[in-house]
Amino acid sequence: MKDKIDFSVVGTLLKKQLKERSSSYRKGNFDAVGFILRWALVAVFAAVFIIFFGRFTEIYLSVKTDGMLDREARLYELLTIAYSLILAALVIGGISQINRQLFDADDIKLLTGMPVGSHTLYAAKLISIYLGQLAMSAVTVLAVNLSVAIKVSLGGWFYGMTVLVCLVLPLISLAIASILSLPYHALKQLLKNRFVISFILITAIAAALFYVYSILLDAVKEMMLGDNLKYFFNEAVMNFLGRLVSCLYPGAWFANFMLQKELLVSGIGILALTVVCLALSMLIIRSLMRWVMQSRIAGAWNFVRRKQSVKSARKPFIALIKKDFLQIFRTSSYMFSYFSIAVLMPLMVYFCMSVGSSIIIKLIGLDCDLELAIFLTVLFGALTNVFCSTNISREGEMFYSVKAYPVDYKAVFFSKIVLCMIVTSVSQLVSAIMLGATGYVEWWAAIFIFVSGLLCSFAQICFATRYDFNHAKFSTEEDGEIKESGNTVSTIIVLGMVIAFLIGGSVLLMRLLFTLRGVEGMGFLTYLVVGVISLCAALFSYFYLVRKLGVKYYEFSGGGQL
Amino acid sequence: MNFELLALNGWQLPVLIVLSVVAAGLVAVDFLLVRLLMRKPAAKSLAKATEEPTEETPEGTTEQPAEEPIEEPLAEEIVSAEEPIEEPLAEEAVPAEETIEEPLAEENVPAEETIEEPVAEELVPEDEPIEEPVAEELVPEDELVAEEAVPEEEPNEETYAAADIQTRIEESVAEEPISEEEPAEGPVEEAVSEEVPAELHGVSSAETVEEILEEHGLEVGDEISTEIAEEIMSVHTLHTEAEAEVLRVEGLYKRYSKKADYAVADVNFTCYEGEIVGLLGHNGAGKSTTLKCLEGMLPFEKGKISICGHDIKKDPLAAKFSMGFVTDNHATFVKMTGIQYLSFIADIYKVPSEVRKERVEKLESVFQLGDAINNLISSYSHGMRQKICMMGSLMHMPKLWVLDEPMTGLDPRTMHAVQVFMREYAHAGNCIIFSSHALITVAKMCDRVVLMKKGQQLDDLNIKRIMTVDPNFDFEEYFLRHEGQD
Repeated sequence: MKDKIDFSVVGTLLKKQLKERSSSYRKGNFDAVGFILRWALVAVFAAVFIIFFGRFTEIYLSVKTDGMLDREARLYELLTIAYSLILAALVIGGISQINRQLFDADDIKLLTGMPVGSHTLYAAKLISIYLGQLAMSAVTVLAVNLSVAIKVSLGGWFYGMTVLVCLVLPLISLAIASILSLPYHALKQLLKNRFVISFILITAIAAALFYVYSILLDAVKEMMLGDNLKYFFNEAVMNFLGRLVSCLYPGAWFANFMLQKELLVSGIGILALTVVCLALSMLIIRSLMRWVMQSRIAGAWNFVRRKQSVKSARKPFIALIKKDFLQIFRTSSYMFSYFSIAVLMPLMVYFCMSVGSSIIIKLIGLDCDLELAIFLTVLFGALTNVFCSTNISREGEMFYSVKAYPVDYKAVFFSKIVLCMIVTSVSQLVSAIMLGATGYVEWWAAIFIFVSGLLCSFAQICFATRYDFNHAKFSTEEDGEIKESGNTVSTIIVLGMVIAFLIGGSVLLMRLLFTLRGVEGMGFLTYLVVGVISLCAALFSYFYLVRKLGVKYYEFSGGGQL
Repeated sequence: MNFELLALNGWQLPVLIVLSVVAAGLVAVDFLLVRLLMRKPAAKSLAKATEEPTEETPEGTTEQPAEEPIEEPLAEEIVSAEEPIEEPLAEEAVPAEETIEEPLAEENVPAEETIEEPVAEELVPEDEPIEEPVAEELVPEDELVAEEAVPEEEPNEETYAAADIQTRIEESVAEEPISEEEPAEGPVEEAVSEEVPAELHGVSSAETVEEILEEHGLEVGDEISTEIAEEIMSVHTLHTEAEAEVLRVEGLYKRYSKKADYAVADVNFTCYEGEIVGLLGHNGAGKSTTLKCLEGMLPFEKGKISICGHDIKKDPLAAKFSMGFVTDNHATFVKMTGIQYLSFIADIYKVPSEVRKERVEKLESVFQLGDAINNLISSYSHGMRQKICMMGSLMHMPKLWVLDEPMTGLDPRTMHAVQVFMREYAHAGNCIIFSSHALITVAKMCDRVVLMKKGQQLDDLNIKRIMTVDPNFDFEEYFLRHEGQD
């Protein structure tokens, strides 16, 4: 029988994927807090992007070269760079999507055993990946084009062609992503069991991204505080941008096409590139899928580790801590969400401190570095410790095995809390040292920030652990890895942010009020308020954790596994 | 930063000091309260177990702290050991000091049926039918006890109380050999013959297998009908202190939610040293639930489970130290390598450093993971995970080995090696309980079978006996017929 594409099966497979994706919205699985939080975050990001990109467009279009104002040339440069950046983002997203759909998906193994033709399966996968890319492209291209359209009067062609760009860009990105996905997968496999290298690499990449983020944040500050940004685009910078834009293809073609410049050349360029990319992506994904299907049936790559012998005796408590450490360190998503973020926390505090401090001084004329440092330390500490909200769920069905071990329940819980406290202590300590060393706060104030930060972290860790224990939800993945954040995670994020804003906001407000009213010498209140709130939070959370814990531990039969 | 704003002057400094002192006082009071709360009854038993850490021998058993007087635990252990015989009579009425002496005296009493089973097991090869009545092959009990109780390894100076008591009992038995000539006398026999309810000990009306066979005009080795087989299987062995009770499940009731039906209702059975007991039943019969309850994984509504005399609810740590378990889903910490997992388990069960290497080598010789032991468990196949789970569960050489569907996913070689190992392990004086659907394996391996259906215990069968009497007995047919009954 000839292996033809069966479109009814393609439809069924796409429906299956849609159902899988929407499963988290069904009753019982629906994470209401997370849903609101996610959409609120998306809305905020979109609003911020449109506002700031609009403002940036305004500034950039008014940049003069050789004393001349050329708004059309600036717009061309801006759109070329924007489309190129979008394409790069789509390629990165595409690599991730192809990996998820082909290499990490479990359904291929199942479907190959069913009467589903390989062409049908391939078509379903390709459409699914394309739809994902299309959604991403639509969001980003629309945001850019609308921001530009608000500032510059552009005709109907621009709006009409926006749709075309949305449809065509994913085809190009898909081709590039399909070429890069196999090397990426190979790199992932190579690093899979090399945890230290992975950790360094992931942390370095994240640090670089945060650095870029800090530059953007600085640019935002400049835009808010004056027109310093305008002076940034001097002749040398503009010459460089001109040279860069001239080789940024296909971004330049798209920009030209949108602005109705060199229509024929850019149109043919886009068409030719699209056809080549479409053919290329079909060919590569098809061959990739064949390889994946074979390898998934044959089994995964193995990694032989060096010979080890059984270790000498340790205390059960230490063994439990080590067990948790290994579990986190050897799961790349856990490692990033906890250890990498903990390492990056001081950087985040520092970047935000440098931006925030100057903004407050320029806007209000008030030096409140201490209050801001407290706020940022507590806020980023809270975001780092969100990981603790999976302290129990992370164990999966092994939690029952741990329950059956001859270990006291207090050892089980406090081993987790001690590990989290070790991680948070290091990160809080480095943050405090950085704040002290850069002169934002005095050394003794840095010590106070460290102690109060630790108390807040202790409170959050205790609370998150007990909350997760009460609402444990074990993963159904084969290795027990939690891939989707649930209600508990969202709740802890919201609570952490509320506490951070409560502490940071109250002291900032107090400082502002006292300064405006000319009341001197009330600085000690900052220490008092922060100290008391942190201490109370720590005590409350500790009580919350230990309350009837022994009984509940015995009675535990949750997690959704039994 | 603005220092002037932070400067403390005038009344602010004393206020700050006073507030700090008050805050510190509150913290101290709170911590005291926490400590007090932690000592409340709910957590008391758990806390007690931690405060009095138990220590571990190479066999993975535990010992009471040295400062505790030996008499007290001895009394307790002996009372628990004699429960099958003594409980209805004197569990509450006899003072502790008397119960210490009684079992020692009872060692002299040969219990016919107790001796009968090991004879059948050890002297008669499986493929050879017994020519003469089993009773004629009775040997002095001390020989059996000595053979069965030999530990696999040199005992550590830290010895588990129950094992210690058991050894003492065995030693006393060995010192005062029991022979066939010495008639069974004394309170134990009286208790068995007169006052102990028949169902408690599984003594049928016909009393012995020989009598049943005689009644039906059969001899050992003859083909027997299912009805007679059922009658023979219901003849249970009487256990003396020489075969101490390892596991006792009494009136176990468990349901998963308040509205749900009982997943397990009124399950009662006891397992002794040297026994392999199978839990049989259809899917959803309650086998895994029963095992999870006795492992301490799941809470249960009613009933009592004790392991080596330690109640799983009241003294969970001591009970868990005496037990090793393998779950049906073979859940392990997949981000550890095999060897790291074994080290972890050894740490949890406090296995001394000096015996670890030897123990891993010994287990490796049975399960043969090879170089894969150094790989991450996440890279293991189903069968390999099963093997590492079994190895982990044996790191402390538990008195009770609990396995849920142990043979699933194992290759034939390992399955055979595991079966041989299980027999040897039980023979060394340990007890094994496992659930399975593999009827042939169960019939081949088990001494006894606890049949379950829809959460209820249907029967407790002495399968070893019937397999000895009729090696060709079709247990599968028997089970399916039994399953069909409502």
